[in-house]
Amino acid sequence: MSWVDVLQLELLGGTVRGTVAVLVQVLALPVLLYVLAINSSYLVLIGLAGVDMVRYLRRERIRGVEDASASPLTQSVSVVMAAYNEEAGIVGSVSAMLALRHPRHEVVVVDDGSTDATFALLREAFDLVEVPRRLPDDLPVRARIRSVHVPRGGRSPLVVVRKDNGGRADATNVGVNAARHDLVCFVDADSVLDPDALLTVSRPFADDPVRVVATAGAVRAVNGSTLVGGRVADVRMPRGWTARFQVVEYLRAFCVGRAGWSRMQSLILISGAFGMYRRDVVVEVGGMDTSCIGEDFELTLRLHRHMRRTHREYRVVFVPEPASWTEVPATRTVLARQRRRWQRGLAETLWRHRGMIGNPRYGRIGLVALPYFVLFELVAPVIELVGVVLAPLAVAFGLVPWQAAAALALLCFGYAAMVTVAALLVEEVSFHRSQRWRDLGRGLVAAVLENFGHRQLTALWRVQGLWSLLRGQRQVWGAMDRQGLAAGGAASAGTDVVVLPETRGALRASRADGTDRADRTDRTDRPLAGAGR
Amino acid sequence: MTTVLVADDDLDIRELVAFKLAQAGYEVRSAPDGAAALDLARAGGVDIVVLDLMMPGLSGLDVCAELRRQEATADLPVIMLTARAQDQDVASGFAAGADDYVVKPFSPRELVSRVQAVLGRTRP
Amino acid sequence: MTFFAVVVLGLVLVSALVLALAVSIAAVRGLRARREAHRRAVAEPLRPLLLEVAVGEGEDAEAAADTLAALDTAAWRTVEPAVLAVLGKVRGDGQRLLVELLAVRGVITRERGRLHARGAVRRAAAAELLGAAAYAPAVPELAALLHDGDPEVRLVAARALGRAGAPGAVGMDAGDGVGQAASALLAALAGQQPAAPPDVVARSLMLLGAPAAGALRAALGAPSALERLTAAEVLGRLGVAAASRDLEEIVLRDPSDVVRARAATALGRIGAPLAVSALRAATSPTGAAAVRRAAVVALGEVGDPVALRCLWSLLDDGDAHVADGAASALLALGAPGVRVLAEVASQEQDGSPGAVARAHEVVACAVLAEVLPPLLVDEVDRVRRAAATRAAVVSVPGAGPATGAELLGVGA
Repeated sequence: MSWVDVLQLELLGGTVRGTVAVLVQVLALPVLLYVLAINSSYLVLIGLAGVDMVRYLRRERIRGVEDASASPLTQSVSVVMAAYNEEAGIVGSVSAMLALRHPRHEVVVVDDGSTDATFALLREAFDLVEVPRRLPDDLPVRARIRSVHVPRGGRSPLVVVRKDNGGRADATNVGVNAARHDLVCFVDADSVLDPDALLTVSRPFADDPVRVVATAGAVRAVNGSTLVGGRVADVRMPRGWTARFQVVEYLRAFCVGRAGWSRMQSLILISGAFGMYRRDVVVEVGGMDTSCIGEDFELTLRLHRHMRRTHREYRVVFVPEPASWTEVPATRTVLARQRRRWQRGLAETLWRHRGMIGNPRYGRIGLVALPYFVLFELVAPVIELVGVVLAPLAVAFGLVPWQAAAALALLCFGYAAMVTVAALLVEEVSFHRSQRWRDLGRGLVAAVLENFGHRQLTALWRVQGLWSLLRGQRQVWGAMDRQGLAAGGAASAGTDVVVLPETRGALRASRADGTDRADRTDRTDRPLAGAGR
Repeated sequence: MTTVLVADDDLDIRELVAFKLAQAGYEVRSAPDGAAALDLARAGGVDIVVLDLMMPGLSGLDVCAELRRQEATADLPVIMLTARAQDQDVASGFAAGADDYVVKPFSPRELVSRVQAVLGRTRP
Repeated sequence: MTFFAVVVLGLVLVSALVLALAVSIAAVRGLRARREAHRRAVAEPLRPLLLEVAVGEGEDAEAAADTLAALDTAAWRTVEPAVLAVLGKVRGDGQRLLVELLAVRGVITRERGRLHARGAVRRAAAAELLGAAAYAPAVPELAALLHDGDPEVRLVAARALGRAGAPGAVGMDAGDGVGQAASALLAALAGQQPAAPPDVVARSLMLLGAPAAGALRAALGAPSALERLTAAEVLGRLGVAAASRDLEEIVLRDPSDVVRARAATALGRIGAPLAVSALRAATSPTGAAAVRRAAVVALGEVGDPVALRCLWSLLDDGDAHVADGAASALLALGAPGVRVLAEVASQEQDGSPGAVARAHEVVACAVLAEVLPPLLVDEVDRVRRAAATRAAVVSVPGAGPATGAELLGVGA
């Protein structure tokens, strides 16, 4: 009796048990093979990343960062920082950005219609005065610009632009307009950059001035670490497991998502938390898309598309060290929202650029990177969830002995844990930013434990994200006249999402606001669409 | 005994400067960043400050401007240590209130003579 | 139960691998900690000796250098990284002593050998070290490395030449190292594709300083546009006044817009008043946008009031960058320029709207941000008051708006 006959028989039977049996028979092997394939691909990418990082480290001494920091010819950088209700840390982060090592950089802060004391604090700390400066309109801007401010006496290279609330993408575009230097660096308002980060990440532009159009910096989870004088002084593991899982997740995701792909010249995601672009190129492609949730991913993809279409030779480079440090959600509630949003942004962006997927015209991006993203990032949570639901059912209905199911599940988890530990090894061999033995132990435990619960939850959240997109799209299509509004809503700091309690960690335990803010932060510091599997 | 405060985030430079100045008969206190330098300067007992221009957190310019702003340290002589010898950087150093500057890589002997010269100029 | 057996076997295998990876992480960390402890135990006590050498004065330094030179091989290997770290940070006697120490320990010979190593990173690292040591005798080898097949090696060689070829380099007394380095660097820009990034080459040429001026001036006549451009840039940065004439020639006649623009910027940096007429000619509306923009900025930097009228007429230029540049340049000219701006800003009825708006913006920004010296602020106030008075008596015949000649009172 072939499996087709079984299928027919069981379907005719029509019982729940029968359905489950069919599903198990049809799906078990594909799901298992999928899990095997996805983790193996991670292993390969981590291997590539390892090679890339060793290459990078061998060049430590010949990189010439010292020289670049002293040279008046070093390309100048405008750091663009969009801020919305950031009163808790804005002054500290702006001072830290101003004090980064670089011969000529300016900081452009765009206050995106904050309703708290963000601007008042900035004005007091930097002695700002309003000036009647008009901003160029290189990029289209949706919201109204209210005013432009500079420090009295031109004490520091700082510009603060106040505008009506319009979302991060719109604020960033205003920042690009106000930026006066050749390179623009996008950072989060709460990012902490390593002192040499700006210099190192801008280096590829100088080394290969014709081809390099964008560089991506590494993003790490700062939770638990100590900050001294605006820089990360002592890297430690955070307290809660939710944050710990993310620390290892970020390490793995950066190995998998950045260094590996960069090695293959196919980097398609530059995080909005730390990416640098040639300003003229950003203007050329039209800046960030205000109607898109995953605007950083969208911009990178559009950049690739534009460059390939205009037949230009170009490079997008990943710089694995030094890093930008960002605080990750410390509670499940916020994490859930973040992951839903990432997944939704990923799907939206891939949908928008679906013409590139599998298209030989876009070279490795179209033929390898994008299909990989669809197969292993977009679909991954769905398949994982299928496995998570199916396995207990199969056991419950006596279709599979529980020992076999448990052993299989453990095998899958074990393989995944091995991948993570391999990423930890790459980190240990290369940058080893964490020093404590106890934290190493915690990291290893987290690599194993995240497979029991955390990963399944992540898959659930991501599927929810996909679901909300499908539902949302139907609504928009149902009522065409609301499309602009809906698009605007998505961009304006996710007004569609309901109030959530403040969940950021110990660093800003004192923050009282946080609903909108935490939400907006969600999509900016992603290490990679889908840090989970 | 004259006390010099040295602030630089590069350990080698800090030790080299401290070593040379100690050799020249000064008492030396050192700080690894701008904030620590400010604290030490405010604590008093410092006669002259050698400041690195580019320090993470609080830059040399910030520290210098802050020293000038406060009455107790307003007259404290400051020598900037900078890798950037372009005129505009030197100018912004002077604008922030620096008395002199030394270019990195630095000549230890030149540093000592500048410290002496600035002290001679600013002291009655 | 063969399937089950396979799964269990896989599980055992995976667990073993996880364990093995975990152990390797621990091993890597442990080894690093041990190496660090060893380094500290050996190198830390020797640190005062190293500092003594690096500050390089008197017999103490010589004695310390001798002690370090006499270390056994194992100890030296531990200290060497610390010596190399200090190398690029001091000038003068200390630097010379450090390089002599490296020479005695065979490091210099070793690295010179590595300039021809198989691995590109090794060649580059050797070049970097010789550059940090400012070791002039290596100039010919570094110059040859500019033709290396690996772009990274060429880049590092270009950077190293800036230090090894500089006037203060160790062992520079014999031969014309500076000139040799300068011509090699400039030649690196000559081909179809530059051998090294132009900004790295330019930076190195700047480090070579004034002695390279001859080679730079000669390069202004080179067939390669990139070479002329870089030479102009560096001459400007170095402020070589003697090159003004050549640069003026370039501004007026070079076939490439980019080179003409760069030469204009260079003239601004040099600040030779005689260059104003060439720069003024370069702002002519028929010129290329890049050249006009650069020339306008340069006019502000030269700082000669002769440029007032020219800049004033450009305030409502069709090219917004030129007009903005003219406004900033007037501001940079100090009192006379600020007076023109303030006058233009107060001519609300009579002036061209573009010019008025622009002048107003620049003056207001400068006043509000308090970047103007008090004297100039007074000047602005005076002009504003005068304009207000004029506006009050505008019905009186003969009291029309200020004429150009009045505005330019100081310059004329």
